[in-house]
Amino acid sequence: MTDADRFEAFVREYQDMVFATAVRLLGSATEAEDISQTVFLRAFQRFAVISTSPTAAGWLKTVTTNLCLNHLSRYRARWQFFSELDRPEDDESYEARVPSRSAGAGQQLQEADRQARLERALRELPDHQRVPLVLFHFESMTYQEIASTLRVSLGKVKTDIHRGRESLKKELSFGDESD
Amino acid sequence: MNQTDLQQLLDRELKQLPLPRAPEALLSKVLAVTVHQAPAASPSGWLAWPRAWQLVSAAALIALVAGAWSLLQIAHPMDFVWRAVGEAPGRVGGVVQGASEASTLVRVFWEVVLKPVAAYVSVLAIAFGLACALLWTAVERLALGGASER
Repeated sequence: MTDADRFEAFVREYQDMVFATAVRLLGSATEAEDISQTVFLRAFQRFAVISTSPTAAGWLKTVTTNLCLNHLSRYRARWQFFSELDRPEDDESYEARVPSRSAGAGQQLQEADRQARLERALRELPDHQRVPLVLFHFESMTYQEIASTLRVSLGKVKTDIHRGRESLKKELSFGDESD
Repeated sequence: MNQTDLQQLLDRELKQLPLPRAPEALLSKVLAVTVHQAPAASPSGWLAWPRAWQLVSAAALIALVAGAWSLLQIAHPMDFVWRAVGEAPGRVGGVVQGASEASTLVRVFWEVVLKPVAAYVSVLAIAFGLACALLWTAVERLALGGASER
């Protein structure tokens, strides 16, 4: 197997994980694809070391997370500004964003539909709520670590995560009511 | 529902979400960019060791050199060997006598020529090694990309 083949297999193995991390942090599939591409180019540059490393997945996740956070802070100037504001309109427009319930024949379809809505709701949270929420639930970071990583106060992290959870709770409730 | 319940419920629900699939185009885009490039050369030998092993081995080597240095300052252990074997009769005694003289010559060369500058050379070599290691680390981080971006 050539190096090119090995690298292709490597990308195939980890592309979903990298993309999932990026898309949940960024909330945008297009930007997540760009970030994923950058991550794999970096991996290519260090492929000799990474390909045999048992911590390759961890390295990829760390690079993905850091690149996403850099991207958010550099290219989304509104990040800091809007993070200080309340967004009550989010609550009002929440149900409008959720597609009408599909008449799923079986329980599996309903479950898949519910998960799709939850995933969509997560992506549509404002950056300042989604990012700490994703770091907490998917990357298993503590509040303190998140505050340190995002360079914001511990109180703000807790508040933003709380508001994010409240928004997602409505999605879960919506799903339950419809069952 | 209190905050702890909500946190646990959401944690369970979010972790059950299926992993979003990467777009089909991602693989081809990555391969298109990398197809004309060769991956960075694989480090071999000592460079391929884990960082902790490298540090331990470097420390062990320094300790070994320092120990040998100290031993040479205190005694000349080969003298005891030559003295013991030199008492052997005949041809063996002659060979041992020759070896003893060679040893003395080497020691004199060491004492007169090498020893005065050895300390300076050692310090320079260690400093040069550290500088190279720092430079390489910096190049690796800045030019080749690293895990710690922030």
